[in-house]
Amino acid sequence: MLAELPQAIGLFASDFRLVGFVCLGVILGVFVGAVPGLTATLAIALLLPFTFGMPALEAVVLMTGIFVGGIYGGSATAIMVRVPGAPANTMTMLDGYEMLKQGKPEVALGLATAASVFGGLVGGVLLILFAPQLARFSLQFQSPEIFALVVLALVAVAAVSQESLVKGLIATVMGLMISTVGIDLAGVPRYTFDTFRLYTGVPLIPLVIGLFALAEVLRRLEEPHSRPKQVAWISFRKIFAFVPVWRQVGWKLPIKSSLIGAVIGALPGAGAAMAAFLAYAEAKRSSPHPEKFGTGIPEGIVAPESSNNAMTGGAFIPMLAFGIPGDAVTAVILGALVIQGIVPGPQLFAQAGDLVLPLMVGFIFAYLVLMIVGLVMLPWFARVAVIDHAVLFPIIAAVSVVAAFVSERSVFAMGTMVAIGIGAWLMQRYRFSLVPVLLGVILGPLLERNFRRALGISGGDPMILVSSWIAVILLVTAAFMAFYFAWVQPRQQRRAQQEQEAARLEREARERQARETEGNTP
Amino acid sequence: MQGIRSLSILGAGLMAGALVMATPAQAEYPDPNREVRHIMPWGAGGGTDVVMRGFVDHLQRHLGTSIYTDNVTGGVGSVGWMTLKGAPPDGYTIGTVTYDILTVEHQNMAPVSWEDFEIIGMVTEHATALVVRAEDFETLDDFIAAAQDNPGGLTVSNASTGGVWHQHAVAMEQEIGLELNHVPYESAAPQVTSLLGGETMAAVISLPPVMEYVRSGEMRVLAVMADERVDLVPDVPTFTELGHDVVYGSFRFIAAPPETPMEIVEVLEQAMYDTFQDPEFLAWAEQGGIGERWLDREASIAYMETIGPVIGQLMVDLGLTD
Repeated sequence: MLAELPQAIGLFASDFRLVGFVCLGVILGVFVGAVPGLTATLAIALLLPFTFGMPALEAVVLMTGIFVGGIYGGSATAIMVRVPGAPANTMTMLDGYEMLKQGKPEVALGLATAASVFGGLVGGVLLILFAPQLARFSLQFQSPEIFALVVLALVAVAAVSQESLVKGLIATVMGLMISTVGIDLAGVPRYTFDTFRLYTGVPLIPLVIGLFALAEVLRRLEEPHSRPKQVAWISFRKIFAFVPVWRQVGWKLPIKSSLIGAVIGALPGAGAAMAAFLAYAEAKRSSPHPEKFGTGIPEGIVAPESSNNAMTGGAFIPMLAFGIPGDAVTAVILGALVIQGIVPGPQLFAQAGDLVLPLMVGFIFAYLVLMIVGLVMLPWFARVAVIDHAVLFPIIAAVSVVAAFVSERSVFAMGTMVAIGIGAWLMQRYRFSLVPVLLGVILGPLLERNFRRALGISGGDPMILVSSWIAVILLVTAAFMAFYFAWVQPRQQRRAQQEQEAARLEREARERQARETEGNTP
Repeated sequence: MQGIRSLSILGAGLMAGALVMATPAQAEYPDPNREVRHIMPWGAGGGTDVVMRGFVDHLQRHLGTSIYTDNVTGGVGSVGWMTLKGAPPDGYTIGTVTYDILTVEHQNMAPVSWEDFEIIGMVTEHATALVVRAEDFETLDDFIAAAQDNPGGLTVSNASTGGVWHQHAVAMEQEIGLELNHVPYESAAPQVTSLLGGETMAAVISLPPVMEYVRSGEMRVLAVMADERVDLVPDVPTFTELGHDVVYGSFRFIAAPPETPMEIVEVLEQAMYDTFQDPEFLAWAEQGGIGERWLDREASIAYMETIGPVIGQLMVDLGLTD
């Protein structure tokens, strides 16, 4: 497959449309990433209905560009206004904003850009090296193994994207239930209530738009309208100020963080926020001066940003090799691939030269674009955060309705989008996360089909589900994960809380005592 | 600064709005600025999907407007056909109709029949084949012997329970006197993957999706269910040659939603006819071995009227009706 690499690069170099779409995607992605509340998932979902007529490769590189830009964009606002553009940038905020307060915003932004590009390129190289190998290995994944993998993915998503496993599981089950609407694989209509439209199930694109766009708009409606803050201005001459600082940090930390990110990305369900958090925690643990984290040190920016960007490359691996998305963005991109007639799996790699390789080259190219865009436009990005929400969110609401209609050219799709959006907004109010719902909807049919098929092959004997080592390992991992997040983690949290509480009481008691002794001494 | 950003988003919103505003197309059909949605009731990368995507790629040149394929899958194709039935009859939605429209009809799976649609014309008529991994079986007799040694244990994949490949597999099973374990997949693509990975031992399938692996030597076609040998695999015997009366095939049409105006149907029919005169399309069809066959609207309807009851009777004989 690597032999075809020059050809794929040549394809890119000679096609200005492709290059244009990557650039457009990256700029759009950085924009939505920088606006708090807007995510790459939302941007891709809104764009999806308009890409139907585009050639497959153009549509996919556009979305890849948005994905890449979206992860990066949030770091600018995290540093400049102390609002992470996306959850993945929360860790960057800690040291980035401190650095701003020390009067070095250009260093912080430069480091974030360089670390993002570095992490992204590492992820891209790993993707090119490992995805074809894993795809060949995916022939080992028959119905029982795919069933087990889907179970693991669902448990992982439920556990990680939520503070409480129970709420995560409830959200996952809601997604699974939505996926059962319609005609099942044996031709039996389920939950259709004799409604003609429901025979085809709940349409995916209006669902995604409702979940991620309309729900966010409704949530914003509840917040008091705040006037935009002022943001510091950065001179163009300072854009390379980060270079000496980067040299000082060295290469070991970004490489280690990128590897952490790529592995997290390849695991189903973990996502960018998890990657950033783990890399930050590891950087702090292995640092000679862990107490300085959070005071504005470069390591605190380099570690999470290289990690969450390496995650994007990793997340493509299971999506392309197995058709099982690693996070919400790859789940939506998977939907786009299928619309274009592209089926993930070993066969996709058999004709790698046509699509997979150009896609991967496009991915790496997107990071090169990001480097230029990031450095040149760096002073401007943070100002995105000051866009008036009273202008922005009504436009998003309007585009949501239009995009839902266009996806099927039906009023029913519009209604579905609104209904799902209201439901999702209510769920968010009660602190349910929405990513498990989407993954439930997407993975539900896969789960059911492979379960039924495995039992069909074995003649109803459930032992087939644990008949191979791969399946056993995956299911045990899922069980362990559920156990950890249901019992171990809450207890640890409770203990930590109790300790804090005890420490507080003790401190108060000591203070009181001190005051009393003070009062006693004349 | 802020004004410019807001304006650019507003611009995007307006553009999206304009796309929709263009919907009540007073412009005459076919409007080259509007895409035609092609509803594909079978999974992406499957046999029908690959062949019909290829066909509409050529068709769009002759229609003068671009066509995109939308996989609306599930329920032995009925989900896609229900969608086609409910689509606006303005010529901007067409769909692929296959053999299994009759399956859906005879099993009363969904309130949809081929007679609901405005049939435009036939695209392919192609033989069913029995395909195995090359390392497992040399000849059909090997396969039969293995099946007899292990009744009910040999797994054979199809593209949906009760669907076309399942019917033909059961017909073969009953004619030869075997007992097989039929395993349903969603389309030919996972059928091929499962055969490569060894989850199933054989596939009843059409030829185009497996040809890549037949040429590479990983798979072998044991026999075809045609009345004479197929050009694509001239060395493969028919079932009849081997002494088994198993002759089955499938077919694909292009159809429009119910009540599509006749002038639109005629434009589509003419475009299909032109496509079949196009040497570029014919070269592509021959190379892929899709089994291309052109029947115009009238002949297609006559074809369906003849074959409909035949397949209904087959399903009754096989015990595959409700």
